[in-house]
This record gives sequence, structure tokens and C-alpha cells, in this order.
Amino acid sequence: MKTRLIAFSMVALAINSLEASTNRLQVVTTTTDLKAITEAVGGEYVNVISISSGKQDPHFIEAKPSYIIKLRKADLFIRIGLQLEIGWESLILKGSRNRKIQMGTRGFLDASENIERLEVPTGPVDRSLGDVHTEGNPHYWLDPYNGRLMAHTITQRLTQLEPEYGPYFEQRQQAFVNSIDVAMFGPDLLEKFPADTLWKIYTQGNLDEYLKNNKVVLNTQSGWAAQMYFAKGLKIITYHKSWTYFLKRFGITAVAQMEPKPGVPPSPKHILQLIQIANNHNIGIILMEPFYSDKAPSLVSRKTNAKVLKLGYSVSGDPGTNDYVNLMNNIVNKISAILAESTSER
Amino acid sequence: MRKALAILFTLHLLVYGQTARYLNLSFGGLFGAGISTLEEPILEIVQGGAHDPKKRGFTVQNLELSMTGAVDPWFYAETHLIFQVDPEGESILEVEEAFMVTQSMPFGLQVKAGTFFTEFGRLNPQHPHVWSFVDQLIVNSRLFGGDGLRGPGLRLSWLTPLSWYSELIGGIQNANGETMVSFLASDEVIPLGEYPHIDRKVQSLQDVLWSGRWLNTLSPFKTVTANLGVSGLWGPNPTGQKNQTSVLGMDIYAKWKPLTNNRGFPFVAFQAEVLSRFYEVTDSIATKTKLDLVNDTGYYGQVLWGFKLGWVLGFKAENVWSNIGQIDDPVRADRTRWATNLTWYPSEFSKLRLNYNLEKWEDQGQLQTDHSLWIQFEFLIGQHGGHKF
Repeated sequence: MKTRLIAFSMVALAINSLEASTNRLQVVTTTTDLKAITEAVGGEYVNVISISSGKQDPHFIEAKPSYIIKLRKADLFIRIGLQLEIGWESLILKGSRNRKIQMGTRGFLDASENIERLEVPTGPVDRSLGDVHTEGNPHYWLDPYNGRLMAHTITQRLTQLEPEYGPYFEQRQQAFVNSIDVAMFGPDLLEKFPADTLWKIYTQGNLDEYLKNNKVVLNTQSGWAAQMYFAKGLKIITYHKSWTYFLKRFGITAVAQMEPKPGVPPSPKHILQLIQIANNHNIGIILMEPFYSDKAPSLVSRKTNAKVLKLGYSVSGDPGTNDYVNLMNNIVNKISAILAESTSER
Repeated sequence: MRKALAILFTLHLLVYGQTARYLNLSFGGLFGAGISTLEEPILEIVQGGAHDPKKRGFTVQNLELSMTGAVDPWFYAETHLIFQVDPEGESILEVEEAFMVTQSMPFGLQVKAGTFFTEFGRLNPQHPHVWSFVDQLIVNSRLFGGDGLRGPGLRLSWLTPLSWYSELIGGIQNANGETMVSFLASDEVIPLGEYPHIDRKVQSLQDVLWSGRWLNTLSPFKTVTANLGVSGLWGPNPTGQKNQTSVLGMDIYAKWKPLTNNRGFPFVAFQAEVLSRFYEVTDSIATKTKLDLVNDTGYYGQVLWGFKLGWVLGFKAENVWSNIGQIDDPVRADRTRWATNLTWYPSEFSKLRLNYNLEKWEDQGQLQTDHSLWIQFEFLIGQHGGHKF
């Protein structure tokens, strides 16, 4: 009798867990950043797979048949958009033969929908200019404010697909947004001012003045805003224009790229120009992604005061970056550490 | 004037518009140049592919205009038009492919209809600009002709519900026309010209070409992916009212690439195919005496090493033989080719290739050795998506 009871319980458990997994929305995202945000919002009602691992350059994913299998039974496909996935996305979408997730359906979501795009070309564009994204720079997830907007966009779509869990998704979105706000401004500032006001003032570049007028000062508990306080006005060199949104958020300027044109590897002539630029502007950081060759950045570094900083720009790209806030933490910590180091050296 | 401007603006929107994606246009030019120890009439035969460099000096290998786009919510369509300049300098226009593919069928099914490359093996359905060497494989030229096996028909594909990528493909196409070598190709390209042949009409399901393919993809590691395929063709040949040809093949493509690759580099890719044709022939159509089953078999293996961003080194070995023994016609003589090349891709839209071929072939019982050195260059303009793995 006891054996039968155990067997029955196991079967019931197996059926339950099967039902639980099939009740979940099957979501496939192109990047780990989208996966992290979708999981943060969707919680136990989503099962999310990312095509990129976080270590890969998402521009150059090969359309492997294993990705087609991932998409075959998906309820929702989420992409970064702005042509980031242009080289491979349509091959796997068409290959999946999944009607639910084709472009124009409810199962297809472009997470850039609510983003304020940067570097949208205004003049004629052709390939002599390199790999120009005609719809704007696609690396918007690196601005934490855009992380909030992406969460909102994803929440709306999850709610459309599963209206009964709408309040649950909304609640988790609020928690996720709050975690970004706390990481950005710290709990003390958020106790005193509404998060939206802080973001607005920070975006306008008036946070100092605003806090001064309200007799509040930034302290070590004031999150990324405090950590990056001394980065404002900093000039750096980046390998690719991947960091535009991040740099704009924290008031940093990229005076040049290692690539002479987007997607074009550095030439000897360009490297000589970069050495001159780095010396003229007293550049301290050359920021690059781990998948690029560090040969040219190291050469520039040896001839100047610039340090090469290799940073993964996606969730799981670097150790300890297993969610969105930790990704931003890692980036902010590493940049602020170099800043602190160079300040102490002076 | 205003009308002309409006048309230009509409075309601009169609091709470059941010939101309008009615028609994706691309144009590719593939050119070869080089020298060979082979004399020119023989060179054209040894370089059996229609897109191969065929003469000492320059060859326009392939000019391809591609048009793709969604037809409506149910179909997607592709058209590839080929412009060629033959060794005599004459311009030729060909419809290489024009087909529609369903987008909304249930159960992982997909139908392709139109005129298209037969999905046999790895190389036959690929367009010349995708090839890793300057010329078509000897075995493909011999079994499927210079232009590759293609023709009008229907193809059904099923993406099976197995946990790995497993696709079953079945097709039916007309067996006649000059691109149906091994089947009812027109007189000038019949591969076994020494046998009498008849003008065979379609009278039953045995008079069309049937094709089948099973493709499986495995990813044993995150950095390694392998395609394994088996293919078969069954169709009529013109040496008798009921004579049939069958072609069987196996192919493998395996690629290693680290996760933190730089624009797809470095990588190592191995590719191999073996193909065998069984061709029923009769010595006399009147007496319908069955003479033999003529067999031609060939294989190749190639390794590509993308050792540095934009740079690929390639090695290839090819061998083809037949069961007829020593044949004067170099088209069907035993052949071996060793090839190596170095390709530089300045971007995904251009390439420059240096390719060396060592040819060994039988001529009237004598083993001949010849050398060819080719340069190939390519450009691609317009919207051109990625290629299948």
C-alpha cells in the first residue's frame, strides 16, 4: 500500500511539474540582457532561453540550427532590434516555422520600442561608412534608465500574452525598476525624492545643483550616481561605439574609437592617430569588449597613459554578472576603480 | 519630372526605407583570373562548372541579382537571376532560382514551389559566391552538370519534433532541361553520350525527378556544431523508356568556433561529401537489352582555418572515378584534384582569393598532371542576409 502511495505521489508530482513547465510562457531572447530582464519581470510564469551567451558579439551570431530548435516552440521572441541581429535573426525565425513569433505577431517583440535612440544617421548612409546602423545605435541596454524602459516594454507584452498574470508581472516590474533606482541613487536619496524626479534631473545634468538646493549631499551610499561622480567630463577611447548610451548617462565622452569606421579593424595609420589623440586628451581608459583583439589597444596603451579595460557588456559576459543590476555594477565598479587609481597616482 | 521623382522616391523607400521592406535587392559580382598549364580547349572541360574560371586570363564567373521578400503573411519569395559572360565573350541571362516558401504551415511543415536547386548534399543548393574554393567540385560537375541540379517543382520539408535539429525533405521536379544532367537533360549535356538515347516524355510518376534528404544537426559542445546529411535522387534517364538513374550521397559539415570570437574568427571548419550515381543503360533501344549499371562515384574533403580576422586558409582533396575504366573523354576520366587557397575578407561583402589547383587526370591511358593558379575577387552590394549554417 505504501509503495503504491509513493508511486502515485511521484506520478502526480511529475504531472504537476509537467503542467507547471507547460503553463510557463516559452520566451527566447537574442541576448542575455533581455533574458535577465524578462526573468526579472516574468518570474515563475516564464521560461527564458537566450541565443547569445553573453560572451559573444551579438552582431555576429551564426544562425545555427540549434537556435532554430529553441525557437520552434517559443511563445515570444524578444530582440534588441535597431539592426543588431540583422545578420542572423531572419534565418532562425523563418527556419523555426513557428507562426506565433514571426515579425508583426504578438509573439515578436522589439525591446527598442520605447527607447530614445542615439546616433540615428541623418544623412545618406552606405557601406563605405562601415557597419552603420541606419536605425540608430543598438547598444541601448547599457544605460540603466533604458533597463527600466525595457522592463516596461516586456511587462506590457507579457501581460498581453497572459492577462491573468498581469498584476504579478506589474508587481515584479516595479521591484526590478526599484532595484535599478536603488543601485543608481542609493536608498537615502530615494527616501527623500521620487525616483522619476531624480532620473529627470540627472538626465538634465542638474543633480548637483538640485541636491545642493535641497541641502542634500551625495555620499558613498548614493549608488552609481556617486561612484561615477568624478567620471563626469572624462574623456576615453572605446573600441567600438558600443558604450554610447552608458557614456552619455554618466557624462563621459568617447573622443575616438579603435575602429576607424564601425566594424573596420584598426589600421597602423589610425593607431598612430589614436596615440596622438590619447596623449593630447590625456586619455586614461581604452574601453573594449573581450571578443575584440587587444593587440591595437595594448599598443596605444604602451605609448600613452591609457589603460586597457576589457569589459563584457552583456549579462554573464564577465564573472559575477548574472543579472542586469550586477552587469551595471560590474561596469561601474571597474571604471570607477580605474578612476580612483589614476586619481591616487596623481 | 515630378512623376519620375515620385517613382525614384518609391524605389528608394522600397530598397532603403526604414520601415518598408517590400523588396530586398542585392547584386553580387564574382570574377576569376589566372593561369594554367592546361591548354584552353581542355581547360574548359577540366573546369567543368559553369561558374569556374575557364580560360587563361580573366573570367566573369557569376553576376547575380537577388530579390527577396515576404509576399504576404503566408509566403516568402526569392528570385536569383544570373548574368554570365561566357569564354567567347557572349552575355547570358539565366533564371537560377525563383520560388516561394510557405511561412504559416502547422506541424513544422514547409512547402517550396517554383524553380530551385535540388536539395541534395551540401554544395548543390549553394550559390557560387558561398563556395570556399574558386571552382565547383569535380563530382558535382560530373553528376549534376555545370550549373548544378535545378529545375521547376515542389518540395516539402518537415522539421521533426525531435529534441535536436532533424529535417526531412522530399521533392519532385521536372527531370528534363539542361540543368537535369544525369536525368533527361538536353542532348548536348547528356553525360553518357556514347549510348543511344530517346526523347522521353512524362508518362508516369517514374518520369519525373524525386529527391529526398535527411539533415541532422548536433552540437556536442557550445563551440562545436555538426551537420550530418544523407540524400537521394531517383529519376528517368534517356537511354531507354524505363531506364532510371539514382544518385546517393552523404555529407558532413562540422565547425569549431570559440564563444568569444571576433566577427566569427578564429574558426576551423571541416566539410566532406561522397556522391555515387547509378545509371541504367541499354545498348540498343530497339531490343531493350539491359547492358549495365554505369556507376560514377566521387568524394571531397576540405578544411578551412580562419586563423585571423578576415583571413582563411583552405585545403581540399577531390577524387572521382567510374566503373567504365579508361575513357578517352576527360569529362568522365578518373580525376584527382588537390587545392589550397588563401582568402581575405575585407568585410562580409567583399573577398580576394588566391587558389592553387593540382590536377591529375587520365588522357588515353596516360596520367596527366597540371597546375592552375587562380585569383578570385567578389563584391556584394545591397541587402544580403546571412547564409544557412
